[in-house]
Amino acid sequence: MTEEPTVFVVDDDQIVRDSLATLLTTAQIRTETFSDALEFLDRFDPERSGCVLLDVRMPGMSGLELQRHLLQMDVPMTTIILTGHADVPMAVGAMKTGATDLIEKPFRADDLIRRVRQAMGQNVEARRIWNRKRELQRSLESLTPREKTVLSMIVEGKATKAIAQELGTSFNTVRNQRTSIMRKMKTDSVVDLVRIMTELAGNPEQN
Amino acid sequence: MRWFTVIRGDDKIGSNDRGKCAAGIDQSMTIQECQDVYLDLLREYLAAGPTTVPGVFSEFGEGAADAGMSSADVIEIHETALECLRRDCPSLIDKSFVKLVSISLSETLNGYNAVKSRAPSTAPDSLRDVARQYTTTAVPHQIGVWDWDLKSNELFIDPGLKEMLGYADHEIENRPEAWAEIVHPDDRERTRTLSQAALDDRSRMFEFEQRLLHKNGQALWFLCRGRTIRDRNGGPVRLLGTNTNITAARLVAQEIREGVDRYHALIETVPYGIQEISLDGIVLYCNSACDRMLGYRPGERIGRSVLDLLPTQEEADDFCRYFQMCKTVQPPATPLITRHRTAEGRIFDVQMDWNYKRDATGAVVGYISVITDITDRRNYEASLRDARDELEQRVAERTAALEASESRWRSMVQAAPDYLVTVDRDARITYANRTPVGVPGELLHGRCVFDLADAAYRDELRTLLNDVFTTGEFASVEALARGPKGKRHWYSMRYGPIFRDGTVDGVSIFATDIHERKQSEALLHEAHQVLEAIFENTQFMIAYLDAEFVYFTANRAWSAAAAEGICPPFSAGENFFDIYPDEELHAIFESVVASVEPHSEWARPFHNYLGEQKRTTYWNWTLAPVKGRDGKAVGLIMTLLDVTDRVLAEQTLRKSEERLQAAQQMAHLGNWDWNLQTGHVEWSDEMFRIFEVNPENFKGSFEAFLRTVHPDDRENVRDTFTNAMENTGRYSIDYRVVLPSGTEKFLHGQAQVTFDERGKAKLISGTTQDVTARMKAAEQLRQSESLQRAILEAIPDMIFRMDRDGTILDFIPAAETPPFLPPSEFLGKKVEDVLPPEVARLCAEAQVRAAETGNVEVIEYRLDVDGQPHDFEARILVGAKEDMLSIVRDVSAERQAEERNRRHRDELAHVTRLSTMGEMATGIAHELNQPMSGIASYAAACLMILDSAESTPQSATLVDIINKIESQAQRAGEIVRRLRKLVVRRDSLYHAVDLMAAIREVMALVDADATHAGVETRIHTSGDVPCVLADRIQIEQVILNLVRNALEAMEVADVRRPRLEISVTTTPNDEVSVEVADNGPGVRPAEADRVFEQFYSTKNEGMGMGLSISKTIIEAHGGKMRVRKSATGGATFHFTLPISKGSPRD
Repeated sequence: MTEEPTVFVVDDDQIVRDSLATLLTTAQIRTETFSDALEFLDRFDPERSGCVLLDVRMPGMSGLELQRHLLQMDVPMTTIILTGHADVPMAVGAMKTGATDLIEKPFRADDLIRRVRQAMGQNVEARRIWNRKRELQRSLESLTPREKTVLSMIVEGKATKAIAQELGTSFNTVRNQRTSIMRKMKTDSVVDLVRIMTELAGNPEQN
Repeated sequence: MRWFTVIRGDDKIGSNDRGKCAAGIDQSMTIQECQDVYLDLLREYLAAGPTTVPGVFSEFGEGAADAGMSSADVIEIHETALECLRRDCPSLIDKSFVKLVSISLSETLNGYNAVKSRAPSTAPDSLRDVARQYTTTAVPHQIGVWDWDLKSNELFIDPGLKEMLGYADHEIENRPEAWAEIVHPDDRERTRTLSQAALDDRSRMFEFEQRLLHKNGQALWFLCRGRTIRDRNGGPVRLLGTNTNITAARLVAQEIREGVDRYHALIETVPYGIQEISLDGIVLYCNSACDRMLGYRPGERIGRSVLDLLPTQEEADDFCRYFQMCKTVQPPATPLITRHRTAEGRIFDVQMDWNYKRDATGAVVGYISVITDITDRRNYEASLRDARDELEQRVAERTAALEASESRWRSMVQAAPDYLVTVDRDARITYANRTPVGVPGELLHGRCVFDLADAAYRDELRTLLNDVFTTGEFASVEALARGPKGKRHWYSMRYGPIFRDGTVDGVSIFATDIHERKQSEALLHEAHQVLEAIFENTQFMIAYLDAEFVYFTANRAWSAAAAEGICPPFSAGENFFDIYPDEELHAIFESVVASVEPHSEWARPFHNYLGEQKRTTYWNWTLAPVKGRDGKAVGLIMTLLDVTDRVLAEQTLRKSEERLQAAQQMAHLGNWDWNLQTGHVEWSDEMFRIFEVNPENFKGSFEAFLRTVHPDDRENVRDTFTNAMENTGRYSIDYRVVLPSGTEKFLHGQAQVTFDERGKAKLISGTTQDVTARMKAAEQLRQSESLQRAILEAIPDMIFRMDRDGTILDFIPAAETPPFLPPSEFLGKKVEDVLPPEVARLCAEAQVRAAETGNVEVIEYRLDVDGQPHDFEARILVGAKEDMLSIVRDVSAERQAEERNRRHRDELAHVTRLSTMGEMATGIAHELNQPMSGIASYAAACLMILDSAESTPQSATLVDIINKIESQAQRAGEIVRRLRKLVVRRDSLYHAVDLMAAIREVMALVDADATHAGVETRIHTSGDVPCVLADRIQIEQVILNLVRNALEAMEVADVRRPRLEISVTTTPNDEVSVEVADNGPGVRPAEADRVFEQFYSTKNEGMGMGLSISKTIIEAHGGKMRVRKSATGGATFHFTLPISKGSPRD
C-alpha cells in the first residue's frame, strides 16, 4: 500500500504495449508492461495497488480468462478490458468476470487516462475494503469455537440470558464471552458487530 | 590350355627368386628393360673400342639364362639392340662395328649357354670360338651358328653344326653351294626363297624349319633363324643366323600328336558319351557320341553347364547337390542312373559311369563321365515284364472263362425246355437232362433211347443215328415219341455227334416238343379251307393286295365286276394303282398300311374304270390291313359292296335338311314344335346341341325343360309361357339354363302358339338361340371396365383424356385431389377455355410435343384450388386411340417440403457467409485497431509533452498536426467499426432450442453426402436431452461445421469404414455436452491448439474460418469447445451449451 499505484499493461502487441506505456508514463502514471497473461501472473504481487489494462484477444490465456483467474484468486485488482470490438455478449462476459471497465480500441487518449485514473481510485477503495475484510476475517478466526457459537447467536438477535439458557451455561460466562468477542472483533456495539458479520458473509462485490 | 608363357611387354620374365643377376639383368625385368640394358652395354663396348674383352656380355648371357629366357629371346634382344644402334648412330656402322657386334653376340650366347649347360664359363674371343665351344659342350643344346658374308660369298658354318650332321669341319666347305647340298632336297627351294626374302626385306628376321641331311642320309629337323646385316646404304652385307636341332622335339611332338590322335579316334569311335566336367559342372570336353546322343552339334556343349541336361529343376538340384558332396567328401565313384534331356527336348534314361579327374598331385580337378542311353534296355525290361504279365493274365482269363462257360453250359442244359440226351454207340442213354415222363433224367441212364419213340418211327430214328455215327454229321428229324401224361407228342430232334479222339464216340440228341405247333398247323389248314370257300363264293368283291398294293388275289365276284368296268380288273402281280391311278385312294391305302387300322367308307363313289360316260357308282368299301408277325401291315384286304341305288335315293332327301341345319348351327338357333294335343315334341339338331342332349335319349317334356332352367329364371319362364298360351299367343324371353354337365348357358327364346277353333292352344312352334358367348363377352367387358376404373380411381393421379384439339373427353378423379373445377364444368370443353391462359398454353405446347415425339412430356404448373395455391405435375402422352392423356398429380406437398428445405439451407449458408465475414471483420478489426491504438496513444503522448513544454509557434503547429494524426487514427478505427457493423446483420436470438431436433435437421442436410461416402452415422443420447439456451441457426451452423469437417477428413484420409458418431449428454453443471467423433486421421497434438485460430486450416481449400466461428459462437453462448483424440484415433470435437429453463420454440 505504500507503493505508488501502477498500471499493468498486458498485451501481446508490442506497439500497443509501448504506445500505452508511453502515453501513461507521459501522463505521470507508473506503468509496467507484460507480453502475455502468464508473464503477468508470474510477476503478479497482490500487495501492489493499481489496475490491469488487459487486451481481450491474446494467444494462450485470453484477457477474459486471465480476468476470471484473478477473480478466483480473490485479490483486490481492478481490471480494464481493451477490445477491438465490443459486442454485447463479450461485454456481459467481461463484467461477469469482474472487469471494472471496458475500453474499445482505438481509444481517445484522454478518455483512457481518465478511466485508468478512475480504476486506480476504485482499486484503492477496493483494496481498503479487502484489507479490512481480511482483518475482520483474522479477528473472526481468532475466536474460540464456543465464542463463535455465541457470536452467531448474538447476530441472530438473542439476548445474553437466552443464550446462556440455550447453551446451558451461566449468564456470567456468556457475558464474559461476549466481552471477549467484542474485544477481539474490535468493536463496542452489537449493531456494529452485526454489520461486520453481514459484511463478511456477503458478496465481496456488494460493498 | 597354354603350354608356355610368352613374356612380352609388361610381363615379368622368370619365375625363380634368385635375386639380382649379373650385368644388371633381373628376373623381374621386362624384355624391354633387358633390351635397354643390352643396348647400353653395346654402346659402352663400342665407345671403348675393340681392345677390351667384353666380359659383360657373357655376364648378360648368364643373367638371361638365369632369368629363364630362351636363346631366341637373347638373339632377338641382341638384334633389336643392333637395330636401335643403327638407327641412332648410322656412322658407327662399318666393318669393325660388325666384328664387334659379332663378338658381343657370341659372348652373350656363350654366357647364356654356359649357364644352360651348367658348364664353367670360359672366354672365347670370337664367334668361331663360340662355335667351337659348342662342339665341346654341344649335345644338350644342339645349336650351331652360321655367318654368310655376301661379298666374299664365304659361309662360315659352326663346326658343331657340321658335327651334328655327322661331318668333320673340313668335310663341308664353307661355301653356300656346299651347304645347299646338305639341305634336304625337298627344303632347298624353300630355304633359298626364304633367304632371298630375308635379303630383300629390310626389317624382318627370318625363321623357318628345314631338314638337313645327316652324313648317314638321315634327315634331321632344324630351326633356322637369321637376320640380315646391312651396310649404311641398307644394302645387305651378311646373313647371320643359327640352326637349332629340333629333330628330337619334333619326334616327341609327333609321337604325342599321334598318341593324342589315336586316343582321340578311340574316344570318338566308342558308342558311349564321354565328357569331361569341371568341378563347377561346366563341360570341358564332350565326344561326338555324347553330342549325338544328346542331339547337340559338335562342340556346342563345351562351356555349358552339365545341369542343362537334367530335365527338371529338382533333378538338377539333386545332381548338383551330389557332385557338391563328391567335391568335398570324395566318396568312391559309383554309377548313377538319371535322366537327360536332349537338345530336342526328348527325355531318356541314362546310366552315368564316372570318375574323378585328378592332377599330378592327386587333387580332384574335375570329373570324367561316361553316359550310356539305357532307354532301350529299360524298354526291353519293361516289355519283358509286360509280356510276362500279359501271359499270366491271359492264362487267368482263360481259366476263368473256361470255368464260367462250363457252369453256364451246365445250367443252360439243366434249364433248357428241350430234352437233351446223349447216347452211346448202342443207343443207350448216357445222359438225360430231363424226361418227358416227369422222372429224373438219371433213371433213364442205360435204357435204349428208342424205347421212348413211337414204334412207327423207331426204324427211321435208328437208321439216322447210325448215319450220324458213321458220317459224324448233324441230322434232324421230326417224330412221335412219349410225351407227358402218357400221351404221344411230336418232337423235333437234332442229332449231333460227340467226338472223342477223332471218332464219334456218342451222339447228343436235342428233342424239342413241337406238339402244339403240329396241332395248330392242322387247325390252320382246316380254317384255310373254310375261308377259301367263302372267299370264292361271296357276293362281296374281295381282293387281296400286298403292302405295296400289288394284286395278290381276287375272288370271283371281283373278276365279274371288273368285267363290267366297275372295278379295276384283277391281274396277279400288278400294282393296283398302275391299273387304277387315284391319288386319294392311294393316300388312304398308305394310311391304312401305316396305321394298321381298317378303313371303311359308306357309299364311296367310284368312277367307272372303263370311261367317263358311265355313271358313278357307290360302294360300301372296306380296306382292312393284314398284320404280319411284327404287327406291321403285310397286305390289304379290300372289300366292296354296291350301294349305288340306295345312295341316290337318300341324296335328294338329305340336301334340304342339311341346309336348314347348317343355318341353325351357325346361329346356334334351334327350332322346335310341341303338339299340345299329342304331347309330341320335335327338336331340330341344333336344339339337341344347345341342350347337350343325345337325340336318342330325348324324352321332351315341359317339366323336364323347366328343370334345366336356372332357378332364378324358372318362375319368369313359366309365367311367360303360360301367358303366351292363354293370352298373347307369342313370347320372347331371355333366360339361363343349367345343363346336366354344369354348364350355364344364356338362351333367347321366341315362340308362336297356334290355337284351334275353340281358342285352345294346339301347337307351339318356337326357336331357341344360344346367346351365351355374346352375353359372356359383354359381362367380361363390363367387369374389366369396372376393375380398370377402380384401379384408376384409387391412384393419386387425375387422368384427363383429351382429343387432339384439347377438348377434354373423359376424366378419372384422384382419390384425394379434387380437380380444379367440378367435372361438369370442364368435360367436353377445351383446355384453354378451362385453365388460365398461361397454364393452358403450357399444356397445349406439351401436347403438341408429346404428339410429335410420342414421348411423355412432363410439365409443372400452379393453380389455385379452393383459394389455395397448388402445384401440379402433368404427364402428357398419346393415348390409345390417337387421343391424349394427361396424368395430373398434386405435388404441392413435395414442392413445399423442397422449398422449406431449400430455404433452410439458404439461411444456413447465408448465416455461414455472414459469420465468416463477421469473423474476418473481427480479425481485421483487431489487427488494424492495434496499430491505430498505437498511433493514437503516441500522438496523445506527444500532445501531452508539447502541452507541458514552453509554447512556441512551432509547437502550436505541431500540436495542430498531432491532433490531426490522432483524429485520423480515430477515424480509421471508426471506419473499421462501421464495416463490422455492416457485416454483422443480425443480433443473436437466444431462446430454448431442442438440440436433438437441430442435430437431426443438420444430419438431414448432410445425409446425401454421408450416404454417398458410405459413412455410418449414429446419434447417441443418454435419456431426455433438455433444451439449451441458444440461437438455433448458429448452433446448427456449428454442428454443420463439425459434421462437414468430420466427413471431409474421413474422405480425404480414405478411411475404410468411415463412422461418424454424435453423442449428446447432460452434465452435472446444467450443461448439455455434444460430441462429434469421427474415425478419420484425427488432429495432431501440435495442431490441437491451432485448429480454432482464424485463417488456420489443414484443408487445401479451407479458409480456416469454420472452427474459429464455431468456437466464437459456442463461447458467445457461454459454452466451451475443445478437440481431443477419439477412441478410434479420429478427432472428437466437443462443446457444451447451457441448459434452458424454457421450452423450445419453432
